[in-house]
Amino acid sequence: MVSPTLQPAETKLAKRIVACLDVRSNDQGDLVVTKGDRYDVREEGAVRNLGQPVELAQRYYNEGADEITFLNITGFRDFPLEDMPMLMVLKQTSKTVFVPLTIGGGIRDYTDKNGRQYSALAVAEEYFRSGADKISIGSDGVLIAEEYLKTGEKTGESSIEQISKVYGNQAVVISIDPRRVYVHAPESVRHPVVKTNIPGPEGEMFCWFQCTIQGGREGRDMDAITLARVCETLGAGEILLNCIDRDGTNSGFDMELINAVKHAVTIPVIASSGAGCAEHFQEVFEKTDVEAALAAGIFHRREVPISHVKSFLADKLEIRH
Amino acid sequence: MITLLDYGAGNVRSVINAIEKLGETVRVAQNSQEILGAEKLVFPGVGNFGNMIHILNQKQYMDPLKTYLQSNRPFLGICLGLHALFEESEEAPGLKGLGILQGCARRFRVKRSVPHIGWNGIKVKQPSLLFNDLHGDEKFYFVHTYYVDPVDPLVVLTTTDSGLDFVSGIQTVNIMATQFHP
Repeated sequence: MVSPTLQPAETKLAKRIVACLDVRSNDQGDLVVTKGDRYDVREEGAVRNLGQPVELAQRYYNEGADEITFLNITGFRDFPLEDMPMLMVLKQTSKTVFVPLTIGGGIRDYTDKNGRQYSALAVAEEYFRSGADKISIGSDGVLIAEEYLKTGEKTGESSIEQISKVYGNQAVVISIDPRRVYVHAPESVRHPVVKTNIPGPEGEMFCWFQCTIQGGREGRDMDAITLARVCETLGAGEILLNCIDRDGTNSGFDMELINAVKHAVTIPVIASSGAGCAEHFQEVFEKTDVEAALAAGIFHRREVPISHVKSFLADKLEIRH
Repeated sequence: MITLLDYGAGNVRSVINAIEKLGETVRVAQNSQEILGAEKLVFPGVGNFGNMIHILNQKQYMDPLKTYLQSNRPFLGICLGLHALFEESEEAPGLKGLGILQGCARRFRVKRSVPHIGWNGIKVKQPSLLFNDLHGDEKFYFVHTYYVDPVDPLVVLTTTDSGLDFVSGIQTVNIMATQFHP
């Protein structure tokens, strides 16, 4: 029987640094890590390759990542459970990486080529069994929220409700891909509008945050604030908040977007898109109440190692050493 | 040999991997006999309290678990595996837990974000084998919406702050359980 020597008077929740790996099948069918520039992952016709997912996840873990997220951005035309490489990546990674793993991409209802139906819950189940701690729902979350808003009633049928009921709210992350839509006057749209310090191309002083689906290709008549609220109501436990305007720009997080969404929900929010240096993480944690911040590209390319971000933040914020 | 109780709703692989990394072997219990016959039992719970109790009832694991817990053999509960030891949970009113410890699991009603997700510390209230090689300032991963509120203060092993000072670990003889994922 032992007692540790240090006895803290108060414990504090650490701000989390999340490393994200965007993975997809390349033209040879291998699963590779890739990073887009404003969601375009092709460079001269070929998918950008930034290393193998398992080795990269291991590296991030060793460098101090508090959490690792795999976003499978392969366009699933077929049933994703035939996409065994992703399950293999999870199984391999979870053997040596002891921080939470989140997997996103393709978690929805399917009918395979033999006509057999699979629920989103069944797809999620396979990911959990392979070592995922949470699943992330993207485009499908927007469609679910649109359906919910038509009636304002929960059906219990949506993937958000079904998965959170079995695995708990904390296991369901909603990944939002918004982009700014500038307007001259706040009353010109029915969406929540913010007054912005970053004026639009025609000097517009207001904007709303439009949700997109299909990797940012299709904008919907739904804003990020409403989506976050609806998904919380349906049982989501966390919001992963991306920003298409900032993705790959290294120009810092979009504070206006993050504050607007964070104030609308009581569940944790992970800020994403735009981190270009360690100071950007400090800024997002000081100017907003987000619990976590995520980056992909700068970690992949070793422009800013995770260990540097953490040592930079160590005397400024509560972090995990 | 460590026996692991997998009731089929969550990531038990991370627990298996962690135990194997420490050089132990793991057997996943397939039936109630293997629970009764375990030398050491680990019960990682993930998900929803009501769902867990329904499955434990359906598989007829409740009585073997109670028998095991009364036998003074080592037990480690994790997350919902901690909540299961209590009488009930606000997550599923009316459903009975194992009732090994008096008290219940309550929902966080605090100004912080809920679920409480992320790396937080522990304040140690009694010595334990679990603290071998710990300095005391380590952070552990938490992910939960409910916390346990034991009647008997002597079972409290650790507490943690998240808007309130809640019980994050319990210990009574050979029964140990943590809210965090060790």
